[in-house]
Amino acid sequence: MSDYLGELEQILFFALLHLGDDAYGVAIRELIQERTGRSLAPGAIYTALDRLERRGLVRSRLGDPTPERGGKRKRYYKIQPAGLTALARTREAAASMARGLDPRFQR
Amino acid sequence: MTSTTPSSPQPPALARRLLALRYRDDAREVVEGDLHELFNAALTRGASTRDARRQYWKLALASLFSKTSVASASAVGTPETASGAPFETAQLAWSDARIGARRLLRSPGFALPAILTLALAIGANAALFSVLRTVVLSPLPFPDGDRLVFLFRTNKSQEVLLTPRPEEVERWRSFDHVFEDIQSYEPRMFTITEGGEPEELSATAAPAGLLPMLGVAPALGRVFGPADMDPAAEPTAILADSLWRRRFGGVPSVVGRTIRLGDGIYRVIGVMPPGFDVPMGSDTLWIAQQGSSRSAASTLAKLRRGVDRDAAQAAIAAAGPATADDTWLGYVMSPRDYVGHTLQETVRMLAGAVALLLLLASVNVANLILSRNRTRAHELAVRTALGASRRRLMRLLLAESTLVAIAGGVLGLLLAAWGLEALDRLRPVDLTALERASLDRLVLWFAAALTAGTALLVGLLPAIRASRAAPRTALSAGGRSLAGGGHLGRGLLSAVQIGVALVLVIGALLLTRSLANLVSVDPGFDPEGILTVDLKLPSGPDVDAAVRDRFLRDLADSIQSLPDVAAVTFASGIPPRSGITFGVIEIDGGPPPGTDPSTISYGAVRPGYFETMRIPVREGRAFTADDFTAGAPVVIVSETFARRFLADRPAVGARLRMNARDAFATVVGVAADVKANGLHASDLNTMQIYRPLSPRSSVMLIVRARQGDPLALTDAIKARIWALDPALPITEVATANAQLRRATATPRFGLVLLGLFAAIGLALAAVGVFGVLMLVAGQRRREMAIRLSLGATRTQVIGRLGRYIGWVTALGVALGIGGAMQLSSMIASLLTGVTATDVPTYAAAAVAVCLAAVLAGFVPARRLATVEPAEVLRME
Repeated sequence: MSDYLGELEQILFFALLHLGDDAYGVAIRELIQERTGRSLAPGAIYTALDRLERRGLVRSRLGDPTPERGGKRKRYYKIQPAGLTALARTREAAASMARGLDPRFQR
Repeated sequence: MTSTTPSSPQPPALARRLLALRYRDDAREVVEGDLHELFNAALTRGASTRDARRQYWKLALASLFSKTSVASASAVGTPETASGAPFETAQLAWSDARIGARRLLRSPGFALPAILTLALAIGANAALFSVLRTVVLSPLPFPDGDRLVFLFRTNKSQEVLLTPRPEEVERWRSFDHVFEDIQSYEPRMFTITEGGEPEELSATAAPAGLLPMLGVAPALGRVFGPADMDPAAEPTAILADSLWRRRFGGVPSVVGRTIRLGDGIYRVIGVMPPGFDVPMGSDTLWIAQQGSSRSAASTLAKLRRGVDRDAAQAAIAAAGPATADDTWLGYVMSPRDYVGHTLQETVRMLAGAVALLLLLASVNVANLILSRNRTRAHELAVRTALGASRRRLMRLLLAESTLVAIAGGVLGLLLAAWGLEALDRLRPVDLTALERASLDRLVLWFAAALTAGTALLVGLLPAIRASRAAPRTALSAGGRSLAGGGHLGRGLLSAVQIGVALVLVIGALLLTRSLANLVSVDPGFDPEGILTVDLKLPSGPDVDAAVRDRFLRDLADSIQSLPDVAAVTFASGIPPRSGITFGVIEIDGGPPPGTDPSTISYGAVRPGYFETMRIPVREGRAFTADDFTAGAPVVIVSETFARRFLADRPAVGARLRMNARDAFATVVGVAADVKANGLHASDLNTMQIYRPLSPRSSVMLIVRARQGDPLALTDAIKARIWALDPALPITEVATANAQLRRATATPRFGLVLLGLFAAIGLALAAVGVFGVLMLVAGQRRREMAIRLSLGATRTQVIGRLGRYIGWVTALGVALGIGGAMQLSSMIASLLTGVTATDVPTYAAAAVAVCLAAVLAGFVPARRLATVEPAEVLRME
C-alpha cells in the first residue's frame, strides 16, 4: 500500500484522532472550524470520509437517533491502522521534502 | 441539550427535501441529522429562527453542490459500476445528467419532437388544472372563502333550488350561532356603450354588507356604504378590474366620474382588484342595491367559525318552513357544489380529454425513445461488452428521458401561461372565472409531479428493453439497423396515437354539432325581434292596483302606436329566464296518482302575451281583457303540465290553485310548451302555469319589432315611457336573443376547451407520427439506396413508405372509432340533438385524422425520394 492523503483528508484524520469515540459529522466540523477557521459543508465532509472508507483507511458505524437531530442517527468514524500508516507516510513525505527550506515550512 | 418539541422552530422543509436529490437512505439521514443538530445549536446560542433557517439553507445547498472530488493524492477514476456506497450513487446521478444532456444536444432530431410533445401535453394539463382549480376547487377565493355558502329554498324532494324569500332570509339571519352574516344580492344586466361597442354586462345589485362580508378591499376608491343604498341617493357603481381595463383604459381617474349603464347614470366609486368576480365568476360590475330587494334574491352567507355546511343545513332544516302554508325548506350549498351543479358534466368530460392527451403524449415520447434506442443498439451493446452493468445503462437512458421531461415541463408551463391568456380572450361572457385562472404555486407543483410521472412512464419501459438487449446480436448486425425490424412495434404505437387523437377530434365535433343544435333549439317562442324592458312601476301611498293597471294600458297603447312596433305586452319574465315563482299546486279532485305537482314555473302575463311571443295556444283560449277585471280566476297551463297532471280529465275546465287561501282557478287554455328556464328539454322545464298579471312593483315590458334590430327601438320606447312618467326607472333592456345566448354559455365553454384539446391532440399525433416516420425514413436510407441502385424506381420506394403510413393510419382509425364508442357514454349527457355515436361525425373526424397523417408523412417521404444511392452507400 502506498496511499498518500490529501490536505483535507489529513485535517479530517487529525480531527478523528482528537475526537476519538465521539467523531461524527457535527463534532468534526466544529473542531475543524475551531482550529483552522474553515467552515465545511457536512456534505463535503461525508464525501471525503466516504472515499477514505472505501479505501479502507477509516471505518464508520451508525449511532442512535437523538431528539436534537430531529430523530436522525449519527455516523461515527474511526481511523483504521492503514489510515494511521497513510497519515504518517504523508506527513513524512512532506517533511522530507521541506527539509532544508524556509523554517516556516518545517513546523 | 435542547429537545425539540412540536411547537419549536423547524428547519426549512424544502431545503430538507432538496437534500434527497443527492443523498439517499443512510447518507440522507446522517446529513439531515447534522444539519438539524446545527440548526438547533444555533437556536440554543440565541440566533433568531430566521438566521438559523438561513444557516440551514446555506449548509444544505453547500452540501448539495459541494465538489465530489476532494483533493486526494490518490484520486483514481471510479469504476463505471454503481457501488453500494451511498455518497457515490449521488455523484453518478450528476454525471449521468451531464452525459445525457450532451447526448441530447447532439441529436436535436430526437430531442426537439420529444420536448415539444411533452410541452404541449404538460402545458394543456397545467392550463386545464388551473382552470379547474378556479372553477371547481376554489370557486370563492376570498379570506375565509371556505366559510361562504349559498342559501336556497327547496321542495321536499329537493328537485329544485330557488332563491329564498326575503322573509326566510330575515329568519335565518337570527340564527346567530350558525351564520356570521347573510347577504342577498340580485343579478342584473346592463348595456354599456361607453369605451367601445355596446356590450351586455352581467352585474350585481349589492347591499352595503356584501363586499365587506367577502373581505376584499377595492383596488381604487371605496366600497358601498349604507348611504348609497338610499333610493334617493345618487346611483353608484364599482367596476371589476377587467371592465376597468377593457373599457376605461385602466385610468384611475375613472373613479369619481359618472358612467351610463343602460338607462341610468352611475357614479363610479371604486375599482375591485383583479380576479374579484363575485359571486360566481360572472360579474363585471356592482351597483348599489337601492331600496329593498324585489322578491327572491341570490343569497350568500358566511358560516360561523367551526360550523360546517352540514351543521348549518341541519339548523335551518330543523327550523322548518317559514310560514304555515309553505312546505319548502332552506337549503345550504357549498360553492363547490354550486359550481359542480352546473359544470360537473363538462368538467368530467374535460378531465377525460386531458387524460387522453397525456396518454397521447406519453405514447408519443415512448415511441420516439424506442426508435432512438434502436438506432443506438450498437452503442449500447459496445458499452455492455465493455463491462457497463445493466443498472448503469438503464440509469443512463433514464437520465435522458428525465431531462427531456424536465425541458418539456418548463416549456409546457410557458405554453400553459400563453394558453390561459388565449382562453381568457376566447371565454364566453358568463365565465369570467377563467380570468382568475393563473399559474400559481399549486399549479407548478402539479406540473412538476406530472413531469416526473411522465419521465418515469416514458423512460422506464424503453430503458428496461434496451438494457436487456443481447450485445452479441446487436454487434453482429454491424451497427446497422435491419430494414423493417422493429417497425411493427413502432407502428402499433403510432396507431395508438392516431386512435387517441381521433377520439378527441370526435368528441370535439360532437360537441360542436350539439352546440349548433342547442343554439337552434326551439325555445317555444319566436325570439326574433323581441325586446324586453324591465320597469319599476310607480309606487307611493296613492298608487294602487287600478292605477298601475291603467298605467300599463296607457303605456301599451302609446308604444303600440310607434311605427316599427308589431306588438306589445307585459309579463313577469320571458323564457329562458322566466322570472318565476314556484309552489305547490293543488288540483281540484286531486292530481293523478303518483304525481306531485309541486315544482311548476308560474308566470304572470298580460293580454297579448301569447300572440306577441308567438306561443301557440293548443286548446281553449288565450287571456282576454275580461280575465283581468275582477271575476272568477282563470289560468292557462302548458301542454306538458296538462299531460302530466290533467291527463285523466279534460284540461280546459279543470280547477287548481297555488295557495290554500285562494279560490280555485279554472283552466281556460293549454299553451304550447316553452323552455321556461334554460334550454334543456326536461318536463320540469316545460311545466308552466300562466295567470293574469296584476302589476306590482316591477314588470317586464315585451315589445316585438316589425323588422330589424329591436334594440333600435330602445330610445323611442324610453321616450314613450318617460312621457308617461319621467321618473320611472328602467332597470334593464335586452333582446330575447341575447338572453338565449347567455343560456348556451356553459356548453360553449366546454366546447372551447375540448376543441382546444382536440387541436393539441391532433398536433401531438401529427408531431409524433412525423417524428417516427423521419426516423424510419432515416434508417431506411441505406435500404433504399441499395434498392435504387438495383433498379427500383423512386415511386416504388416511396410506395413502400406510403403503405407503412397506410396500415398504421387504418389501424389507428379503427382503434379510435372503437375507443370513441367505448367512451361515448361520458359525453352523451352533454349532447343535444346528436347521438354520441353519430356516424357522419365519426366519418368527418376520421377524414381529418387521415389528412393529418398524410401531412405528417410528406416530408419523410420526400427525404426518402431524394436519396442519392451513391452518396449514401459511400458514407456507410
